[in-house]
Amino acid sequence: MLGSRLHSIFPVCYTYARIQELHPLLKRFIVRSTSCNQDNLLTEKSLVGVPESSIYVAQRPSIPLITKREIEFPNRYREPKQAWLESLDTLQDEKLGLVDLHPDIFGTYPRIDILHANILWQRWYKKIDYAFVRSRAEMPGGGRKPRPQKKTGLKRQGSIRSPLWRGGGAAFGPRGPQSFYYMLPMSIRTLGLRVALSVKYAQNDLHIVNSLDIPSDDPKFIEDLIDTRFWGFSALFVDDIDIMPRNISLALKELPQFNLMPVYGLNVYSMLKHETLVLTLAAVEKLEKKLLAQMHKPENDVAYKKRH
Amino acid sequence: MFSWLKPATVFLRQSSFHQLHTGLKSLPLFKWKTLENSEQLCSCKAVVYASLPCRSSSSLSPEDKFFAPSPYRKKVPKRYGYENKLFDGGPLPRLDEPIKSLKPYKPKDSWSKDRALFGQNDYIDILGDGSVVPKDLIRGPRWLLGWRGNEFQRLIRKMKTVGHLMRDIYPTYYHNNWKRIKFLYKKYNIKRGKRVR
Repeated sequence: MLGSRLHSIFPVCYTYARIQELHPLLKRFIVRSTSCNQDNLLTEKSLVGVPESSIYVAQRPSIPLITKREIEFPNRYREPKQAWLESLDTLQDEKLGLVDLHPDIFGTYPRIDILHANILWQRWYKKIDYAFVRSRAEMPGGGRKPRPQKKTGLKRQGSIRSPLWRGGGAAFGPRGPQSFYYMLPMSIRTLGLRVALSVKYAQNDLHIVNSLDIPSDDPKFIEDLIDTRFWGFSALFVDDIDIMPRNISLALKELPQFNLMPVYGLNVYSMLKHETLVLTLAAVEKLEKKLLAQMHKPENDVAYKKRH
Repeated sequence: MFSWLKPATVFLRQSSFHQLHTGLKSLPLFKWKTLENSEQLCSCKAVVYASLPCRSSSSLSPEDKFFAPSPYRKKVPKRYGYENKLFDGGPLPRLDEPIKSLKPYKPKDSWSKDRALFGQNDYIDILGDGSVVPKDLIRGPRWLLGWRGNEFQRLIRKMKTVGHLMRDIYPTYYHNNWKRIKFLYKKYNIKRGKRVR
């Protein structure tokens, strides 16, 4: 259902035309070969040093490809936020249209305290501290009184493993594997996701892309792309499902700062760790649907404790 | 030994070695005699005040000794004199053992596999289909997954989950755990007002 809606917005494949003599100005708009069918992916040389006669230009249908998007649970007091639909086909940005975004998800108030609470929760709820030190009862020995109570002139001692002694047990040391598990309410966690997305959008670190298909699996291509577009030192590419296209998977394998993630793996910590967030259109659709469902669900959070 | 000195630059002070120790008062008018070769230098039992070539005077090397040891003067046991026991053989030797020092600083890799994708799937109950919850992602001891308690509660829970194994395989731990449980029970329930962690 989602796929059919997308196909109606822009077509499946692009056609190509081979040009013998290319005007110098048009070189800026050279498009690498792309196709939605993975079997027909063409590998081409980099832009530098390619003779003019072999340059391919993709003939897309007329831009803009997307002008309007359906928004569920619209906010009647606020207009939708808008973002460009970009592509990863070329080094330079190519804007394919405008995307409407829900204001409650991409335009909430920047609640830094909510972000802080979410990040703390993410760091602590899984943590298990294995630190353990023995008490005086668990130390070997220490049952006998070292010397008589009186008359020796020395301090009265009951055991060689008292916490006062060197080599003795700890009185209040860390005790055993300890967990720090707790759950934030679901409403606070959804709000955290919404605030993180809003903050990314407001600071121009959010980019929406038609798909994660790139023309070559060379890591240099994606590095140059990110450098050209000033996306920063680190970027998170989020797709609808957890099966990613071949080229981008191979390219980002060698680059630890650029990571791929499905929508269900998205979280506040990763969004703030990576400088840029790149969402595909399908990911945006799914994300909005899930978050709005949580925001407008009839059950309340009291039942969470019983369920978990 | 002083072959690097030019004959013209050498001034030899004709005074005996012992006279030096008597102090500045006893410095007589000495005659300066120029020597033509280094052999004459070594034969004289005297102190040489030579103009040294341009070198930093902060460090001394074996060549900078003030007098040459005479071959006629044999090392005989004696009860007088001062024996310098300090090592003046030059820089200390490098031994085969490695030099103990602090570990070289290695900054942490912020983009290692764990750190780059830390926090992934923490919101899977919201963004997924709801069958998986964040509690399922925790890895650790069986009695601590998705649960939190103070020490007393943790020990009881540990006994419930793995007590039967501890009794067979780790009897000392089993015994110590029961001791601790009894101690904490008295501490928390009888001695009121004490901190419970």
